[in-house]
Amino acid sequence: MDLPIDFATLRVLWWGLLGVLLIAFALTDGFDLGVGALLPFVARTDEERRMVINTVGATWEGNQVWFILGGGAIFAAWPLVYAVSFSGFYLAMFLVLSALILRPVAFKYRSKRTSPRWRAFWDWSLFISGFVPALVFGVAVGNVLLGAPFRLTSELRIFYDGTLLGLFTPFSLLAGLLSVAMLVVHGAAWLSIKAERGPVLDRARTYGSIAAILSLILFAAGGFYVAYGGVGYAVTGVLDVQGPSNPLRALTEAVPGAWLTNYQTYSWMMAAPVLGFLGAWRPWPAYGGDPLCWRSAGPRSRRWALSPRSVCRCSRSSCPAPSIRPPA
Amino acid sequence: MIDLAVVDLSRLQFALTALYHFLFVPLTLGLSFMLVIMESIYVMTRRPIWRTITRFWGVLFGINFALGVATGITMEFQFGMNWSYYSHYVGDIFGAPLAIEGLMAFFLEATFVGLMFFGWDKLKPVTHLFVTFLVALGTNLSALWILIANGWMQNPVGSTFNPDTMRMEVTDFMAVLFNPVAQAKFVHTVSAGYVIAAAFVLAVSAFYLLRRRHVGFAKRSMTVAAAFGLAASLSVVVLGDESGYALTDNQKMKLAAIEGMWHTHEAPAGLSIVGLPDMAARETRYEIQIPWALGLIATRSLDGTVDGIFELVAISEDRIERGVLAYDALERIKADTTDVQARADFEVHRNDLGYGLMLRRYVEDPRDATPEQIMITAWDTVPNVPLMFWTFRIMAGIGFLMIALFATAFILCTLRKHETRWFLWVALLAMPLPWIAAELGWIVAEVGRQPWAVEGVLPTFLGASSLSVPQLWTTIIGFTLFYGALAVVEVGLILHTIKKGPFHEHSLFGDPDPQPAEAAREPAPTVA
Repeated sequence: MDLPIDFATLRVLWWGLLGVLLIAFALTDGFDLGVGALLPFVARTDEERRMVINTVGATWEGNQVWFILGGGAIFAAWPLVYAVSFSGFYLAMFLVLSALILRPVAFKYRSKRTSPRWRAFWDWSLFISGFVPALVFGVAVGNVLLGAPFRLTSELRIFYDGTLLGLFTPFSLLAGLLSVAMLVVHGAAWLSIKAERGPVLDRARTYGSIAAILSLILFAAGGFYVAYGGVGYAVTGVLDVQGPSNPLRALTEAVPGAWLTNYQTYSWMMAAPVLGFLGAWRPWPAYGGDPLCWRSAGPRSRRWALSPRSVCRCSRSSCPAPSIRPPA
Repeated sequence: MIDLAVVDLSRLQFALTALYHFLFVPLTLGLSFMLVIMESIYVMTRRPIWRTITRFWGVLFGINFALGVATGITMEFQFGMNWSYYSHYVGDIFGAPLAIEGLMAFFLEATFVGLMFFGWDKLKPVTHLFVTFLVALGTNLSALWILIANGWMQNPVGSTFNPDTMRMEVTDFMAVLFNPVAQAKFVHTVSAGYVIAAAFVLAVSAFYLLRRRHVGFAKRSMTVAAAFGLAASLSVVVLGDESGYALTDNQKMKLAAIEGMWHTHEAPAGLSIVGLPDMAARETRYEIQIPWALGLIATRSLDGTVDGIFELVAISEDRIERGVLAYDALERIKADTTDVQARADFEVHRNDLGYGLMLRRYVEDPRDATPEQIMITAWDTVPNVPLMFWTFRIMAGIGFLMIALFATAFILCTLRKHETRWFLWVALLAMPLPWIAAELGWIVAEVGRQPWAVEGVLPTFLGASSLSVPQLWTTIIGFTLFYGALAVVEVGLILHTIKKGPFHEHSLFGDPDPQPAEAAREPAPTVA
C-alpha cells in the first residue's frame, strides 16, 4: 500500500500511539483497578462499599476501553509482538482474562440483589478483578525487561519454552507488587477526592500512604536491579529502519545494564523516572490536607488540588455538591 | 510437525467461547435499538408508561450487556493466545478492524452506557434518548468492524503475501472495508440480532399477558416487538439470500457443501430441500429438489452453473501443485533474499501458496509430498458436508418460521387481539429458536470455511499456537466452569427481574427516589 509517510516515521508514530494508549489506560482505568483492589479494606459496611463503587461506577467501562484498544493496536501494528506475548504468557493471560471478565459482571450484578452473601461475593470479585490484573501487568512488564524464552522458526512460527511459574521470578514479582502499589496509590487518591469525610476517607488515606511508601521503595529497588542486576538487551546488528518487519533480520544481544544507556544518550529522558518518584511521593503528604477541599475541587482541578490555597479559594457556593450518594 | 490435538482443542475452545459470546451479542444489538424506539415514543408522547417500558427493558439490556462485554474481551485475547501464527500471519489486516472497533465502537458504547444507566434523572429526556441512540450505534458499529474482519477471512481481498515479513499485508484498505461478503454478512448478522431481541421482548410480554400481569406494559411492548421483529425477520432472510449470492463468487466449496452437491449440474441447478449427504460415499441420498431454484438464487440467472464438489476438488488439486512451486520459491527467497529468480518464480504462483501450505498436515516440507498426499489434501478442502447441509436447513427453516411468527404477532396487535392465548404460548415457546438459528448460522459460516482459517490463504491447522495439550485443557475447563457459572447467574437475574416486573425497576437501579405515584398506575390497556 502506498503510504503518505515513510515506514520509519510510521513505526515511531505507532510506537508513540501505543504509549499514549497504555498511559491513558494506566491514568484512567488505573484508579478503577486501585479502587477495586482497595474496596474490601477501605469500606466495611454495605453502605460504604456502595459509595466507593459509585465513585467509579459510571466511568470505569469507558476507561477500560483504553486497554482493549491497546490490545487491538498491538495486534494491528505489531502482530508478532501480540502473537508472541499472548501465546507465550498463555496461562497468565488466562488469569488476567478471567479477572477482566469478572469485573463488568461484578459491577453490574452486585446491586441486583440485597442479600449480604450475594453482595460480599461480588465485592471480593471486584477485589480480585482489580488486584489480579494490576499484579499480572506488572509481572508481565518485569518479564519484558528480563526477556522471555521464545524462539522463531524461519517462517516466524513461535515456540515458547517457559512456564507459568517461570514468569514469577523475584524481579518480576517486585515489578508486579510495584504495579499494585502504584495503582493502590492512584485508587486511594481518587477516593480521597471523591469520598465524603468519614471512615472510608480515613482508611483510604492510610492505605494510600502505605502504598505510596511501598511504591517509592519498590521503584528504587527495581531501578537498582535494572542497573546492576545483569539484565538488559541491545540491538547490536545493523538495523534497517526502513526494512521489512522481520526480527530474524536483526540481531539483539543480552548486554547487562543496557536498559539505562538511553538515559545517558538522551538526558531529557531522565524526566520519566523522576516523574515516577514524584508521582508516588507527591500525593502521600497531600493525604494530610483537608479532604473536603480536595473533593470540592472535583477531579478536573486535581492538578491544582495539590496546592491547598488555590483549592480552598473555591467558595462553598461555587463548589459542586457532593455527587456521591448511597442509593436507597 | 504441527500437533493436531492442540489444533483441535484450540478450535473447540474458540468455538465454545465464540458461540457463548454470541448468546449475548445479538440481544445487545437488537435490544439497544428497541430501547431507542421505545424511548422515542416516550420523548414524543411524554407518557410515563413508555419511560417505565424503556427502563425495564433497559435493566434486562444491562444484565445482558455486561456478559456480552465480558465475554468479548476473551475473543480479542484469544487470537494471540491460541492462534499466534494466525495473528502474526494476518494481523496486519485482521488487527486493523479490531483496533478501529475499539476506537470507534467501544468508546462510544462504553462511555454512553454509563450515562444511559446513571443519567435517567440527570439528563433531559431528549438528551437521554440521544445517549441511548449512541449506545445502540456503538454496539452496531462494533458488529460492523468485527464482520469486516470476519468477512476478510471468508474473502481475503485487498491484501498480499510479503515474503520478506512472512505475512499478509494490506494493499488496498478500501477493498477490505467494502468487501461485499463483509457487507452482506454485517446486515444479515445484525438483522438476526434484531430478530432475537424482538423474539425476547415478545416472549416476555407474552409471559406477562398469559399471567395477566402488567397488561398495559406487556401489550405496548408486544406491539413494538411485533413491528420491529417483522421488519427484522424479513431483512434477515432477504439478506441471507444475498450472502448466498456472495458465496457464489468466493466460496464455491461452502455453497456446494451446503447444498450437498457433489457434481456440477446443468444450469440452472435445483435446490435440495432434504437429503442424506454421505461423506464416505461422496453422494447425497434421497434428495428432494426444487428445480432451477439454486441456479436462480446463486447466479441470479438461468444459465449460470453452480460447481459441484468433485469439480472443485479437481481445481484444488491443481492449486496444491502450483502451491508447492510457490513454497519452493519462498524457501529459496528465505535462503537468499537477493535471489531475483526465486522472487520471479514466487510472483507467478503466489496466489496458490496457501494450497501448498495445506500439505504441511502430512509432510514437513510440501516439496516432498507424494501424488497420493496431494490427492488426500485436495479432498481435505471439502468441509463436513452433512453438518453444513443440516445446520443450514435448520437455520433457514427457523428464519421462515420467524417471519410467520412476527407476521402473526403484527396482525394480532393491529387487530388489538393481544391476548390471543394460543399465540402467546407459541410466542413464549418460540423464544429459543432465533438463538439456535444464529448459533447454527455461525457454524455454517465458520465450519463451512474449513479447512481454511483464511480462505485459500492460511490453513486452520497452521494458525494455532505452539501450546501443549494440558495448557489447553486447563483453559477449556476453566472457561467452561466460569462461563457456566456466569450463565446460571445471568439467567437467574433475568428471571428474577422479570418476576419482579417493570414497576420495580427503581429498586433494581438503585434509584434514590422511586416515584410511587407513577409506579402504581397501571395504565388503560387500550392506549397504545
